[in-house]
Amino acid sequence: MKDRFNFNRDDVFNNLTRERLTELESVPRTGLRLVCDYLICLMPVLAGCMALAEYILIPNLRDNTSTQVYIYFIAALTAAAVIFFITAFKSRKTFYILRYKAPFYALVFILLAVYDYLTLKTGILVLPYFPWCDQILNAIIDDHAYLLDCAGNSILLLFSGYFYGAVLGLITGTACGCSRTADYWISPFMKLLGAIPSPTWIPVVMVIASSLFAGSVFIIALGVWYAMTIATMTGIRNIDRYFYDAAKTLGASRIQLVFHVALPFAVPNILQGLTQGMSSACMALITAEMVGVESGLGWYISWQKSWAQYGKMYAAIVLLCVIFVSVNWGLNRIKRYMLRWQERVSAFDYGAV
Amino acid sequence: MNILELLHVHKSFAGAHDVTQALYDISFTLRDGEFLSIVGPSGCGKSTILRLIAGLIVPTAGKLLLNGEPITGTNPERGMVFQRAALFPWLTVEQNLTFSARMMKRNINDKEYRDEAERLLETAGLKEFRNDFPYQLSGGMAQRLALIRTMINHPKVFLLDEPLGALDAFTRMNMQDELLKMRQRFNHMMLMVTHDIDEAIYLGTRVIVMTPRPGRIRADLNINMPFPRVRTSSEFMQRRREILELLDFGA
Repeated sequence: MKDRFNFNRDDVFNNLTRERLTELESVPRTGLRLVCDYLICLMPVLAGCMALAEYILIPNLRDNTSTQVYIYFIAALTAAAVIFFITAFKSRKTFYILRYKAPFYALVFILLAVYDYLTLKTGILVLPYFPWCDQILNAIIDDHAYLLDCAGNSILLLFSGYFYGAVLGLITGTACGCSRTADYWISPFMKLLGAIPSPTWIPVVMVIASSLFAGSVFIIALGVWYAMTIATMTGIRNIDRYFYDAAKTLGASRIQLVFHVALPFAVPNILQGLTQGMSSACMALITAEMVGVESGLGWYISWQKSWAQYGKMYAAIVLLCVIFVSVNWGLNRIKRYMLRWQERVSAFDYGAV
Repeated sequence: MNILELLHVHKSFAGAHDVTQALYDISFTLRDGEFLSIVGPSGCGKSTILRLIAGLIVPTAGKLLLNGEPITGTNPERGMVFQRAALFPWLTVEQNLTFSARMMKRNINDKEYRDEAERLLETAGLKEFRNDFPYQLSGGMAQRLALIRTMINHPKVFLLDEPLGALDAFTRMNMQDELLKMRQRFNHMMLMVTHDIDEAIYLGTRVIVMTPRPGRIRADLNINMPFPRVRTSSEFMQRRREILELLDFGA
């Protein structure tokens, strides 16, 4: 560890990693700064222990009850932070990731502790509107079979609608972008349908559709379709004439111009459309479930609310967040892979605040 | 022996309110091994001639013939390199190089084709960068890739639309020598549009001087100096003066 900043030339120029490069070009981290860095990396662990201590040591307000579940939950998260901290000693890359993320992780623990203090310990935020984390966790565990079922239904509905909408949007968008005739016939309908928020159709669709499921799929697909069509079309229209000229002189046919030039060029926009479509799909899903469909997390939320079961309601909300966050995370991974041909410039790299 | 003929070609473009005449009565004949430089001020329709030969646009009147056949549409046998490299940013260096073969459904794992691709990558100095994306290349590297991407098809007619315009002076001089080597190797006909008179004389076996509005041929000069040419020789200077006078920039 000690000779990290003393190097010999060959070592530097042969096995240069991204992290090592950053290290060499920045101000050397020595003595106090290095200690500070490791302290910052340790912050999530400390914050985790603090959250545990807060829960165990401070007495509950009057007849507020609590269980062991929250302790296990925080302990598990803290253990993860400990493992992360230990691996940071072994791997340079992990060290830099943790050094970057640690303050935020610590904040999460602190927020959990503060929320717990405001609800369970002092009752400043009152029941039934603000159940403490332990109650929410217990609600998830108690009702887990039914919640999973609802989550499954929501995911199925979401992705069915999303899939149809995305595929159709890609097709109409490509057609409108590449063919004047298609643009002539499709664009007016799109302008008409796109101006109306898709949940507006719920009352009509629920009556006409053969099943509630099919109706909801249609509502969700409509929003996605619109976002995807616009995005694909814009992407294709922005293409530089040079690309078509070059491809043509290299022997590309008209169909090949669409699939090998127009569509690849539009990929950044298409991905943008997919992300936008996802957010509109999520909105339509929840609306559809709260209004008509009798399953899924959205329905579960409004059902539990009507029984004033706020703990269970929050449990479903937490689950919804987890689903939406992981879907977006997946989309981002796809985006990063698909757009590896684009130069990534971040304002942070240039010292922008 | 390939022969390219332009017979009384006229070309007009429709603007928003009026029609502008870009080319007026252009005729010339070109054979294998010739390097034709086209010089002239901007707006004289130099690039339009190349785009007509490439088949990207159609003439308003007149004929374009390659080996007696009229030119219709684009074809890899008439390869073109553009002022901007126009590399496909989503493809790697190697995928850009083999783009044309994939479009024409040619087997890119074929031994002969592979060898040619390797050799071209080598001469362009892009061997180590084969898996890089265009944004990672320097201007000179990108333009070299654009050149070999067209060259790999062994076009009968090689059209160069100011391909060196955006390069710095040193890269530019190196690339000029590359073009000469290429001409020696394939002996196909080359047409290059440029607004650099030195470049036109250094490379061309023939120089066409054009005047604008509408674009027409002012003079068609043969340059009979042996290669490699010396940019500072008195003959070079004399030809330079001659062309400048034709463009009304004489002393």
